[in-house]
Amino acid sequence: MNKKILKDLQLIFEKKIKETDKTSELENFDSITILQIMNLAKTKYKKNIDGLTIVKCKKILDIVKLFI
Amino acid sequence: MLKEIKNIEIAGIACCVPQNKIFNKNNKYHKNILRTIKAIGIKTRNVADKKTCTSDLVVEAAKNIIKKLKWKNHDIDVLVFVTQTPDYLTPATSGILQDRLKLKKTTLVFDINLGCSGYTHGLIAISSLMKSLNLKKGLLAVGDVTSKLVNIKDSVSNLLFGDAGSVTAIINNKNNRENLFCNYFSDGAGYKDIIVPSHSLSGRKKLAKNCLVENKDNKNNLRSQINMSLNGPNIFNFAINNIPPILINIINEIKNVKYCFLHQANKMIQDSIEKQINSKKITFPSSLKEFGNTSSATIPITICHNYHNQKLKGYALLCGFGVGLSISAVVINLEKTKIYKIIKI
Repeated sequence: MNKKILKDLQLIFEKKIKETDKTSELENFDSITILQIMNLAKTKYKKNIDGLTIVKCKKILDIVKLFI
Repeated sequence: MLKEIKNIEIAGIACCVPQNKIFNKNNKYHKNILRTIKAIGIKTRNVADKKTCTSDLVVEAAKNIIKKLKWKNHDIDVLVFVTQTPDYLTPATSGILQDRLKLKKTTLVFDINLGCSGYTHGLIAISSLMKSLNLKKGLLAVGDVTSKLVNIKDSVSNLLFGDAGSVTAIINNKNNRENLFCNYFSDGAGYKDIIVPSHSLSGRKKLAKNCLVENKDNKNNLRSQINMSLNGPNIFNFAINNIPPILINIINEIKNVKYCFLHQANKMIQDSIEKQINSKKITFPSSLKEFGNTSSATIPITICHNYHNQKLKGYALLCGFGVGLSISAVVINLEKTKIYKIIKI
């Protein structure tokens, strides 16, 4: 499951990412990315995630956990 | 549950945009502009110059539709104007429109303060009024110059908004067998998610002194109190969670919906709603790429941009959503509607 989510997130970040990556060090972790993550969660994983929860994620693994 | 207003016919739809075209790729305040354009789906926007206000765009659209439909100005019984960028805080701009269009003094004219849900809210309001007061001919004017509210250094909103005005001619015709169906949803708890704080009359003195001071948010976007402030994630959440169930219910209840004209907010919201509705029988036309988010005018702009001089067969589902936060949806048959080419001033 984690691998599948990570693969979907890589499409959003437009680069290879690891669960241990810090979000603060990712260049594309902006408002567009947050909306794309919310959209992915809603349409593919049937999860409602709000923007503030995503902003608070310090590592990619924290984002992955929101999808499970 | 769907509400029904009987015998309402849309005779025509006309739109007007400013000549001045902005290319988003030239924006200097985004690090990765091409990625942003791809995500929001907006390449160009028509933006009003300093002198042009909302009434200028609406007057041109109104003159065009009155002339083309061969209506007489004194035949118009009601004019409703929906805007969040009126020419003045007071008086209402509808009076200015009445004067400039030389409508009769007995025409019922008033403004409604709404943004992106304004076209469909406006259709519901004017149709209900025409029905209950037995008014024969009405004009629904919608329009905004939202670009004037946006701080160019605010990367949340500086690529989104175009300016436009539109006028829809409506007939209350007993011989018309078609009805207008509608539904709506509001959540006032989200009022701060789309806001221009300077117009607040509580604390007016404090704001008046500071309203032009630009402040940085945590992403280094600059905004003053006279600028529009958007909470993107909250608006996105509201839209993608509340709109699809409303539209799916309507589509299940009313067969033969062929077109779904969504308010053109941004491509991510469009795609998400379209994906959740998941219907191959329904076309989702767009005008985002060329005109951007023109607030209450996006639905008529999308109709006129894609279908001018054509006839739409089957039901059209129109859905506006945004400031409030609010949503409204209207289903109407546009087969007899004259759709005019967008004019530029």
